[in-house]
Amino acid sequence: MSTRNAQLTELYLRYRLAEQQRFYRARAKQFQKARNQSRLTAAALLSGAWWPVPSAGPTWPTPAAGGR
Amino acid sequence: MPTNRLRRIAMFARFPRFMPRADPAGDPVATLLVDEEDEPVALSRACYEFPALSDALAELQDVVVPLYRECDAQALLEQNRHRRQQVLLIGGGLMTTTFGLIQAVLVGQVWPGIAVASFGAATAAVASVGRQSAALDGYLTNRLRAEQLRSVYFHYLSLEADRHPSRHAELREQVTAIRYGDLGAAR
Repeated sequence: MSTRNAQLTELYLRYRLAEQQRFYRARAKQFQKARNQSRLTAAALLSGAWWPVPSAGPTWPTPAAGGR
Repeated sequence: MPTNRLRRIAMFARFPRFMPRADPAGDPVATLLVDEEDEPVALSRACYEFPALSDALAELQDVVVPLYRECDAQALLEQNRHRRQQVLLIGGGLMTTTFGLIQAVLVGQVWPGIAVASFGAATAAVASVGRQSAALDGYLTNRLRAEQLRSVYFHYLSLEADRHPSRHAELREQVTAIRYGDLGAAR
C-alpha cells in the first residue's frame, strides 16, 4: 500500500467514518430519549394523577358491565 | 424557560431560533473534516497530518469548501425558517382555539370573537407567506447540494493525481453543476 493510500485510509477512518458513527449514535440516543419521555408522559397522563377530579374508571362499556 | 433548557425536552430538541445566528458562514480555513469533538479541522493541521494529500486538500479547500459553506449556511437558514413558520402556525391555531373556547363560555362578550378573528387571519397570513417563501424546498435543495459537495470532496481525495491530469478542470465543472444546477434536471 502506498503512502498516499495509507494516509487516505487513515483520514477516512478518523475524520469521515468516525463522524458518521457519532452522528448516527447521537441520533439513536435522541430517539431513545424521545421514546422514554413520551412513554413517561403517557403514563403520567393515563395514571390520572394530573387530573383535578379523581378518575372514576373507564367511561366506555367494559366486559364486566355487559360491553364487548 | 430559556431555549437551551427547553431543548432538553425531546419534543423541543429542534425548536427553531427566532434570532439569527452570529456567524452563519463559519471558519474560512476549516476543512470538511471533523474531529472527535465535532470541531472542523483546520487546513494547516490536515496538511500536517496527511502530507501526501496536502495538494488535494488545498485544491479542495479552494474549489469545493466555499460552495459547500454557501449551501450549508443556506440550508440551515431555510430549515430554521421552515420550522419557525410551522411553530407560528401551531401557536396561531392554539390561540384561535383557546379564544374560541373562551367565547363559548362567555356568551355575552364580544372581545373573544374579535380575538378569534384576529388570530385566524394572522395564522392564515403566516401560512400564505410560508407557502410563497418555499422554505422547505430551499432547505431540502440546499441540503442535498451540500451533501453532494461533501461526497465529491471525499471522492476527489481518493483519485490518484497522475491518473487524472485533467481532474482539476473536471472538479470545477462538477461542483459548479451541483451548486448552480437545477436539481432533478438532467446534467
